[in-house]
Amino acid sequence: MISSILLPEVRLLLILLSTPFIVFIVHVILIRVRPGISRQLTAVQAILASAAPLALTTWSFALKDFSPPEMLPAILYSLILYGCLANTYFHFFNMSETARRIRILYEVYRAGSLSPTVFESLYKTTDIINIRLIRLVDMKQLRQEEGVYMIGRKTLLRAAQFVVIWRRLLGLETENL
Amino acid sequence: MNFGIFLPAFLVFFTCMVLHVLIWRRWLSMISSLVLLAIFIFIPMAVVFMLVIASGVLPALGKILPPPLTILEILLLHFSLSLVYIANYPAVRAISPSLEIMLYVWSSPRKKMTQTEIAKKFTETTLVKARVDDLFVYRLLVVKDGRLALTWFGRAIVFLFLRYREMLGLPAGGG
Repeated sequence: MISSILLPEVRLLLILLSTPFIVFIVHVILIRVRPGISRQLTAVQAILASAAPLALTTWSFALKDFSPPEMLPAILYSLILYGCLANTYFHFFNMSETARRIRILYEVYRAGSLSPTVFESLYKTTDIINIRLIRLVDMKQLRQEEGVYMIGRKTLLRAAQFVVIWRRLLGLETENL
Repeated sequence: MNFGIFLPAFLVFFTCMVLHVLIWRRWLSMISSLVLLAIFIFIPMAVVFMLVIASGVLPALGKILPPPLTILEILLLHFSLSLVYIANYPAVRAISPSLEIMLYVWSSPRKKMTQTEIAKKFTETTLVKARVDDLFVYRLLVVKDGRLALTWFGRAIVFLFLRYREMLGLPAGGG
């Protein structure tokens, strides 16, 4: 039995390190059973839905064997690690979904090679903006009323404001923002 | 496991962050995002590795160092925090159009904009050409006989993302 061979700490780390794989499996299932929902939202739902089975597994195979004084730090440690790894998974998925650099690489891969002029016609500024406006409305970050866009939920706006401050700290250009 | 593992992990992460800010402010034009991996992952690993080796030679150091499992827990916590930062960094370096749209709408006089007004704020240079230039810098893209082509590393990245999206049951994304 694995429980008797490995220390509870080692079992805990192994289970926590499996977080991205568990979230991925739940993500695959959710995409198939709930098509048509915003893809980013589905990724967030996969992260939330994975929390319960992972918590149960963590408790059954590791946490219950910790001594009472070790229990609280172990739970806190698990929560931080789960949060960090789930967040990293979300950004990996988001990169596959929205990153311009991945799209550029994909277009060149699909064609074998591309002349710069053909490439520019494939990837237009208006398309990039349109796709993003649709996504932002789907995610309820923007509201659209009669062709006019307004701020909806402020989560992404706050993130954007933080990014501007962080760019200043790193010495990156912010003059257009 | 005890609360004692949190402070060293956060200290290592904070030290790496300070190093990152200092390096970026001093040598920004010369550095690529790959330096982040060195700062947050490879340097801490190398330091810990050297400390463990040195503790074999210097018994006094061995008495100060925590047990190997605790070191692993500290490193994993630091790496997890670092991964979050590294995963978020592309949005900081080349501010994403989605974030820019939010800022433009919010800072517009009426706090509302039409699609045409938003599109006018963007130029092809910032949206596409700068990203293509990044791919040349990272050696993912090259020019062969006047045409854009992928390097083996560029092909490997596309392959990884295509397989990942296939397993999810989604078409190729990006953009």
